[in-house]
Amino acid sequence: MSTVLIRALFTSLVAPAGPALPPVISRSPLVLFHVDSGGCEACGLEVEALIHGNYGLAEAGVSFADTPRTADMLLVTGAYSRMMMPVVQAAWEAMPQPKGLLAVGACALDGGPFGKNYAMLGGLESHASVDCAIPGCPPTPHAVLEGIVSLLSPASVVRPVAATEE
Amino acid sequence: MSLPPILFGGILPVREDGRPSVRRLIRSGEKTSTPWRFELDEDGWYELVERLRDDPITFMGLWCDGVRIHALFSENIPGGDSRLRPLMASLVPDGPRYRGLSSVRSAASPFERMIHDLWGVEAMEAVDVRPLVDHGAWSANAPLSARAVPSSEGAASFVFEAPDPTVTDRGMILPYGPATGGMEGPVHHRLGVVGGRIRTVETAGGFAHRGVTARMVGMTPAAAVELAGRISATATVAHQWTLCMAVEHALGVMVPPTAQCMRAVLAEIERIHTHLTWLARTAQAARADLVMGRLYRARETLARLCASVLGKRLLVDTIIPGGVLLSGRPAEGAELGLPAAMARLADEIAAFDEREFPEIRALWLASAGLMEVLSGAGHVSREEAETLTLGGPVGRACGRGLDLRESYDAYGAVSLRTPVRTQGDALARSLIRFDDIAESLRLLAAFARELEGRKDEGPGEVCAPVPAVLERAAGYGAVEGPSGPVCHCVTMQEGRIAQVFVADPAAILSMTLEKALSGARWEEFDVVKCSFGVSAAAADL
Repeated sequence: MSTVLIRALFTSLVAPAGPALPPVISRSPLVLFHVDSGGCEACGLEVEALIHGNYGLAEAGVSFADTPRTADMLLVTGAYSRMMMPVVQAAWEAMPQPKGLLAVGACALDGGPFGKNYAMLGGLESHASVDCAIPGCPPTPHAVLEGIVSLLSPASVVRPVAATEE
Repeated sequence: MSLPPILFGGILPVREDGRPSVRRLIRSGEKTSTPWRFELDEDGWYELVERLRDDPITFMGLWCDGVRIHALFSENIPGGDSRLRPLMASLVPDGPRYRGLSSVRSAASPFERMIHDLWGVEAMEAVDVRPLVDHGAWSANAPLSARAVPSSEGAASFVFEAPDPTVTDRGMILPYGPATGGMEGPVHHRLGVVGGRIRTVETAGGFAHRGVTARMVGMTPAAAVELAGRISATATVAHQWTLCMAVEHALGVMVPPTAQCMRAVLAEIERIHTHLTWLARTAQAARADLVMGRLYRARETLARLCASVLGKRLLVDTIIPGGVLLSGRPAEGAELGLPAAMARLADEIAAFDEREFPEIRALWLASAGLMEVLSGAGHVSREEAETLTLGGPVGRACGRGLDLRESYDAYGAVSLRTPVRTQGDALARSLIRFDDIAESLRLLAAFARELEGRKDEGPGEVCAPVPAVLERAAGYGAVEGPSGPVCHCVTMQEGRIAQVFVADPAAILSMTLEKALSGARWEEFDVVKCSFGVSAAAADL
């Protein structure tokens, strides 16, 4: 089961052969749910800084939920451990349609320093289709915000200027 | 600013009851090429466990390498200096079992459980035989041993103890985690709550187990140190420094004083960053939004200062064997020499002490709701702290003033004052974190002056060359991380890592947390958890 494409599986369950789904992002504010799938927690620290460090998150139309049931996007950090796989899948399943997957940090993409072994699956890239990938080990809060904002308006990437940016 | 009283433990009289001490028992074992490691036979090992019952020697860690079981002790005298004086006893077990140490040293329990999960070697007479990191989701059983068996992959299945009858009759089971939407690492807690109070606590970890030590085998020291920096983001400098210290000890590298001083600056910055993180999370859990906001903003300012001088907000990849590596510096840092840039950074951070820090501390003390929740919550007794040899903020909040920093060369010139409190509750732990930050800021100011005096030194003073040694060599290192002492033992062969053992305080803290939570009101759960500051990543390795 480890190589199941989560995205394909759940999309096929929910909409077997229907019309194309609307674009991933359609709501504002965009609500994110964070899951650490097993890493060093640095990306979590930087996402935490993004939430609380005056980066103008609310102004950019982004907020965080403490349940996947009200979230639009799943923000995954960490290298996707075998033990976290069912947790990530359950979170994804609990989210309403339309939904998207955001991979933050080198680990979440391809495992980074923690490639595949007995305990790790080595990132989401080979297991699901990622809607937005933010590389870096760890990426800065600014890079994370920029990635999210580019999803909201893909045509013109707005560079948000944080209130207290030096 | 007034500092709390500093307590010193009394020096125990040397026991003379005719029986050899653990120290002499280990030393009577067969000598090995490593001067501090001795091989014991089954009888010697059994004798060792018996002697440990009433011997004050400090337990540091227990590991397996596939053939041998290694137990590391530090033979320092209580009340003396805290330098690690390693003494390792090794046993070639007869079959996949050995006499465990947890019945005489509870701190050995997470190590025994880890050895069982990774190597399939069982500890006899262990106090806890639950799996620590392997819950059946891995692709193999005992993955590191030669007898590894591929296992059918599937979802993790947790074996929880049958709930307490009182909980089944009158209470309920409340599961927490591993995905709460919060930013802490993944861990699962199962609380049995009766009448609003937590009666039973079970922790299931392993969600963040990455097999770090197994990955390091065969790596070059530099690559292994990079990986060590990713054991846990809240102790990245501590792990990088410890592994470097171990490698340098094995290869006989002398680190120049300037580099030592710069490492100390990085370690103190990390201590402040991690303490601010856990204080902010504690405030968040207690819904003290005002002080939480101030703490997060202070942490953000610190991260931005680091980014402006070092090119990094978090301090991953800053220490390399031989010295420090600060790449990616912006142009302004490059004009100054590295020591001067570091001096400026330390100076700017130390200025936080005059401006904002006293205000935040006063705000914390004035937040009545917060103080109410913290006071008396999650109490750890002095006896328990002694049995588990707790260090770091948790140990120092119950009167154990151990601090490895006292023994480093870098801190020799700055007269360290380790804060100690005795109440042992969440309030004492949070105040210890504030005291620690104050002390770190004072140290940073002192390091800034010292580095200022060394600013004209050449690059050779920032990093010493590391020789390529082909022979087998072993080394150890121990550093006071933000949540307690971090210890690594490394064996090098042909210039690469042949073996590495890692001890992080997180696993023992997680065990202490389980105990401290029982009896607490369930609303206090998050607050108590954050006051311990356990990193799931560091506990799972």
